Amino acid sequence: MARTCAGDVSAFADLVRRHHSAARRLALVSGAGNDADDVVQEAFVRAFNALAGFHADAAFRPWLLRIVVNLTRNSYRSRMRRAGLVFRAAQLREDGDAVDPQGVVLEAERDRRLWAMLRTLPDKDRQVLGCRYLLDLSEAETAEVLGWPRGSVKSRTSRALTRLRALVEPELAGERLHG
Amino acid sequence: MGEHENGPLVRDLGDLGRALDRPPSPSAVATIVAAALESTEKAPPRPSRARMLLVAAAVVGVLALSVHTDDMFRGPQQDMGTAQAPVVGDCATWATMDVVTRSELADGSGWSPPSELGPWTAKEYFTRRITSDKLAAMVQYTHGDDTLSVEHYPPNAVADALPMGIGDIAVVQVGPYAAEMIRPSHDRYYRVNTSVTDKNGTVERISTVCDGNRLTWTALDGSSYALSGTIPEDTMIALAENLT
Repeated sequence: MARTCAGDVSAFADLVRRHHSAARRLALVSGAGNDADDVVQEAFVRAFNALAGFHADAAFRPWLLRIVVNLTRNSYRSRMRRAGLVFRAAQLREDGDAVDPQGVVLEAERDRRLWAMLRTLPDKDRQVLGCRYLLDLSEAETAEVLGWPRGSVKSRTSRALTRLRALVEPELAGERLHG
Repeated sequence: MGEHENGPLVRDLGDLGRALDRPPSPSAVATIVAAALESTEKAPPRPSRARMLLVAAAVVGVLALSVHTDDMFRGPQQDMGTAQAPVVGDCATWATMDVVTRSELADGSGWSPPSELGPWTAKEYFTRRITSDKLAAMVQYTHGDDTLSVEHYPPNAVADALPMGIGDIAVVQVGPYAAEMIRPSHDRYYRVNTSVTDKNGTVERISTVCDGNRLTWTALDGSSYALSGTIPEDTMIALAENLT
């Protein structure tokens, strides 16, 4: 990290290799859809430009991921503006992300269904579940990434899991009936 | 709802996270690094005091460390005539590039690349606008799992004479042209800047980030070429001769 802060580009490339996957997963689960790769690239570029002000003792990953969340939010709003029509928002959420050709290729049917259900949750639910379980961040790291109080992370996680479970359980019940 | 009730769902989410966990391709990494470098050239970040001290420390003797975006490339590996570095990668990316058809590339750049180059087949065509009136062009060829990139720059494009971070440079012959074979230092990226002056005298610069050999030469019409890929040097030179 110190080498990267000092502008060592090979060290920066190592950081990209190390954190790219987490950044991309978070962009995808946060709703970046087909913009995920652009969001991730821009996040790394901004991080690189801001390294001079970065505290080397601070954790790079939460800092980078926070940039990803903010950029995804802006990217989503931008896509909404480009779409022009508010009523298309829901359709974009469903179709834009469902197409997702660059994003999510999941081999396991179980993963595909869980991903589809996860995408139907509200933004904040997806973000908190993404941080906590897709990226395996702690509550403290999640709070830092999302800029929420730690208590909110805990309560939002619980509510989001309940919502997701309500979506998952009927499907599991169906599996039991047909299995 | 107790945590134990969510246990299976939490495990499934963890499995989903692992299923989505994929390392970036070397090309994705190089693109991000190139974009970061170009962004600093447009709006150079003000170095922190700590950063300046680090640079100063490096100047006075910590030569083995890489300490500055530019200075890091000028390490002790830069001695000429060292042993040939292993062929590990290429220069197949700019910070931004437009996917185009072959005819669009030819119309925009004035270069008509071959669709076949020995056993290699052109797979993707790209352009990059450097100035309002000039395009750089790139073609990526494939042969089995190997890739080969050919860059084309308009006349009067000037590449760094001594790109930062390289292992060494050898002068070789490509047909009638004197060419340079740039070799990487082990396991490190190097950057090649190419500057182009537009009709108004404005100089624009684009960067490519490489981790493999790069063969460059300038043709009679002033256009310059760069060939890079995961192939032996002799093969690279033979292919370059087919392009001249």
